[in-house]
Amino acid sequence: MPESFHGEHHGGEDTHDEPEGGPVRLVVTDDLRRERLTVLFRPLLYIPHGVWVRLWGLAVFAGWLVAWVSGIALGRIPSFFPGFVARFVRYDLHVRTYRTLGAQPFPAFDGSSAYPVDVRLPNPQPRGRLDYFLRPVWGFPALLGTIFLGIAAELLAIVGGLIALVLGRIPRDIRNIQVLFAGYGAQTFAYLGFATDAYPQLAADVSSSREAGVVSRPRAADLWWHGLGGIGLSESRWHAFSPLKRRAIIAGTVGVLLLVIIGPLAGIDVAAVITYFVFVFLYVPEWSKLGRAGKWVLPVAFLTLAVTFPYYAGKLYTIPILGAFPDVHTGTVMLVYVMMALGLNVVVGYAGLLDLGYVAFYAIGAYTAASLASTQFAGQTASGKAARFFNFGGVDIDKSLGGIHINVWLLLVVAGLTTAGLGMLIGLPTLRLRGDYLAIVTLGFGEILPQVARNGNNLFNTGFNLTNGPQGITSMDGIGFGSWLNTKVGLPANYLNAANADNLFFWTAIVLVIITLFCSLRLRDSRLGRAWIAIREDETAAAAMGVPLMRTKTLSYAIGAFFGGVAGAYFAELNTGANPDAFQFQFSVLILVMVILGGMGNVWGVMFGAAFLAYLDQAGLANTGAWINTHLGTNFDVPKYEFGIYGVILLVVMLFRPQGLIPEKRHRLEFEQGVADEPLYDVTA
Amino acid sequence: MVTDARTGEQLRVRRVTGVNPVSAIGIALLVLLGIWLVVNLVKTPDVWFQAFLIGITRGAVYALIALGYTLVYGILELINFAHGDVFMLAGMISITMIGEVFGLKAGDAALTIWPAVLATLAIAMVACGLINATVERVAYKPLRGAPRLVPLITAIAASFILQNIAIWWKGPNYVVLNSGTGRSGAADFLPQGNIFTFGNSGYYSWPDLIVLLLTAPVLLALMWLVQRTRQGKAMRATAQDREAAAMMGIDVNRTISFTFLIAGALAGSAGLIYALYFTEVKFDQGFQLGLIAFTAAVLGGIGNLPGAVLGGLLIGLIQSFNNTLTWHAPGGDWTQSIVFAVLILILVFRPEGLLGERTPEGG
Repeated sequence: MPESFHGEHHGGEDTHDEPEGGPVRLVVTDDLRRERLTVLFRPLLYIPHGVWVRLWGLAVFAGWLVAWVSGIALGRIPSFFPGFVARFVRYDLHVRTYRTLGAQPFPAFDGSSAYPVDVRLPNPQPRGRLDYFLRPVWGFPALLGTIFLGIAAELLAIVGGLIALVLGRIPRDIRNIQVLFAGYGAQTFAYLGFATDAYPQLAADVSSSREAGVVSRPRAADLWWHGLGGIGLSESRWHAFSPLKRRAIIAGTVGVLLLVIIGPLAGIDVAAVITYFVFVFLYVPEWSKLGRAGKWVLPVAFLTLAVTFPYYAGKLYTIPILGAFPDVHTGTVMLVYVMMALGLNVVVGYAGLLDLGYVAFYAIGAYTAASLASTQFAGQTASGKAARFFNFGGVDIDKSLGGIHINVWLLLVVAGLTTAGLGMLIGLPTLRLRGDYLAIVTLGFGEILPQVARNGNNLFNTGFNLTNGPQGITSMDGIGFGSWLNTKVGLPANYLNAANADNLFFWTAIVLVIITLFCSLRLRDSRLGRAWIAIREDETAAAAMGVPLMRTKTLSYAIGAFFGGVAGAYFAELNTGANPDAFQFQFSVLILVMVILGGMGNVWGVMFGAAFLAYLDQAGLANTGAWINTHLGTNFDVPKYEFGIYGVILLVVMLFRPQGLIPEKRHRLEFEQGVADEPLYDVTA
Repeated sequence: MVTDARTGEQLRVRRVTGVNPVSAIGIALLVLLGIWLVVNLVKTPDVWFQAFLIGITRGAVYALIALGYTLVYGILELINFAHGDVFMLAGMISITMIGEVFGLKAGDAALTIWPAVLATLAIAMVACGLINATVERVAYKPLRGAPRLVPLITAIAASFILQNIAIWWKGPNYVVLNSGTGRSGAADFLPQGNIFTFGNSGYYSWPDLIVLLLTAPVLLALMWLVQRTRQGKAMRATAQDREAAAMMGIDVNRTISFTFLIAGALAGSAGLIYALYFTEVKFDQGFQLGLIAFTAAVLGGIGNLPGAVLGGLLIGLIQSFNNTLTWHAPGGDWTQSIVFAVLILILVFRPEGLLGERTPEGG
């Protein structure tokens, strides 16, 4: 019988370099290390291979039928076929060992040779018709054995997986067993598929090189690269692409995924397709590099999208799980939250002062605006009529009800200034305290002020009604431009009476957010902003560089308070009143989670985080709960666990990505490249 | 008289005296407080003493919680926001054990009650110690080297998660110990009735004494643990200087975990006592009471164990005086604000607390 090496006429690579009649050899170069993340997600990662191995297997089976018939009828197998089967057998072996944790790398999809578990099949020789005919019969017991061993391997994989999660590597014996079982399956398929004549045996020459070393802490990104390595894309190659190419690839992949995953579930919606193309248009090209007008393209585009939102809000589709797109009123609420988050960003993100009492600023702003634009201070004369009346630009005021009525636009500024003033007052004695004490003190103020609001209808038993107690102030004046401007220029006289009140409030909120955004950006790039960042990074060094600590910190507090106050006043107008039940500690934490999730100090991250969490708070959680309940048949009241969910979000962000979703520039550098100070004794090891 | 070293001539030195305006305000406030107390004492002495005794009782519970805060802060310089919620879970566990598992009710013999109560105490302490140690393992340990803000935020996150576990377990309403008509609101299987009365309306009931009787051994055990055992010495050493302690061969990680265990056990005992005395717990009470207890810890000097006890008693007294006294008392509505005002005032005027030592960073 002639010997043939390297399968010259069989097409397979190293599979057939054994002399005829030799045993099947399994070559193992695995080092027992298993990355925990990939172990945990192994079933998910396996899915593409599970699909591809079946598709390929179908093709092989079809070819096998042809080959078998040809072997019986013509006495010989098509010459390409053994190599073809060998390739598939190899791939199947890789996939099988990958699935059962016998190997670590993500297999390539073409059965190529570089895999820690590989098989060497001796070349088949031409046989007679009877041999070809009886091959399936002889191979049938081996097939049964393969199925049986496959089940055992799955069970063992669970055990091995648990151990690997703890230790970061798999025990040698478990790995060897998995390799053996998978190898038996490979031999069976090779034998049945005419790729070799050696009968499957449960014995193989298994060697392992390199013991497991210490497993370093994996990055979440490693999971991506693990999977993408299978299609030949490594991290260095990815970074070698130009940014444009990278973004185009990402946009294309997102499109394909959406089409493939969500298309069948929810159908294809025209609005969704338009949204996708808008996204591609905004995301892929490098607008900022296209000349002076280029850097305005993105902001103008977003602004246009935002301003025209009321017109297309009704036509928008439903996002799976999260529910419908927010309507205009929810959008306005989201914008107010964005404003507050931007305000807190100045304190927490820029200056690094943990403020747990932001709700106090919201309360002060709301109550200032509400009490100075309503009948709160009307008082009562002996005859029951209103004692005080003062109108300065108020809209649609009823004189007989009395009270102080100041133009609400003016009040937005007044409320902001009042809050800033009170913020400075609060800050003066407390800002010299250390970080955690400051947090507690701000928390204390956040608790005191709502209590003042709640008990304010009888302040210190004097009968003076400052805040109207637990009912709050309920009938705030309308906001608007008054009748003169209405007739002359067509501006709405009183938002509350207008037909499209929701839209008007929405557009005004956009204007306020733009003003806040502008101030945030300019402050960040100003001398004051750099002083804040210096304080955040290292107070002592900042003080040594001449940064006046108390003044700078107080200013950050005051400016954060200002925005909080304006947002609070606008919110009061939106709700036409101020009620102490809305001012709870959880509100401060909600805004804090927005800032932290988005990225402390990064304005865009904070805006995104605020919008997302505000949506969750208003509608998203309820919708998600309903979706889960209808699809999984449970009876969870998801909004009840809202703050537990935020707690988990905070915990996960703090543990795995403290710089937030879109990190601020310095934080990104810090967390990627590390900070230079080393402790003397590492107590985290 | 002072001699100039260079020229040898005598210089007349004038001592500069004067009062720092900040401490002047502080002293003025204390004086006002003193006057208010004295006037109330003179006007309604029996109410005053009643308030005093109630204050001591409540103060004992606060002291136990404050000790937990202070232990953790002393060793890690971390304000464990989740501690109050561990206390709340202890209350719920205690109510479940006493009410449902042991099924104690009024009229049970003392031999049934006391072993059950002691068993619940042990279970609550162990369970809460384990909860606290788990929180430390999961949330605080990975962040040991992170900047100050990060563990603080994580503590808030842990607090909310524990609260939601309570909501999931027992629902958002009050969890009530099946209690009959105990007069002071305490569990009705405890001996009711007064030990002594005084004046028109003053009384001191058995449940009040039982609270003190349950608190005292726990405090003594803690003192013994911290002062007389090796682990206690390790805790004190790690609190003083972590790196030096590590160099001395102390397993710092284990000591920190052990501290959290002890703090959790303290919260567990406080939870049981609270459940016995107040008989109802709600999921958000832990946070509120935890903050009050933290104020107590700061008042006494954070990191200082006797200070925590003193602070707890003082805050309990402040609370009950505010609730009960009648002459110009702000009243129960303002108690929360007053406690926080005390916190702010302490941090402004005397950040090291009553028994603490002044450090350059202010406590």
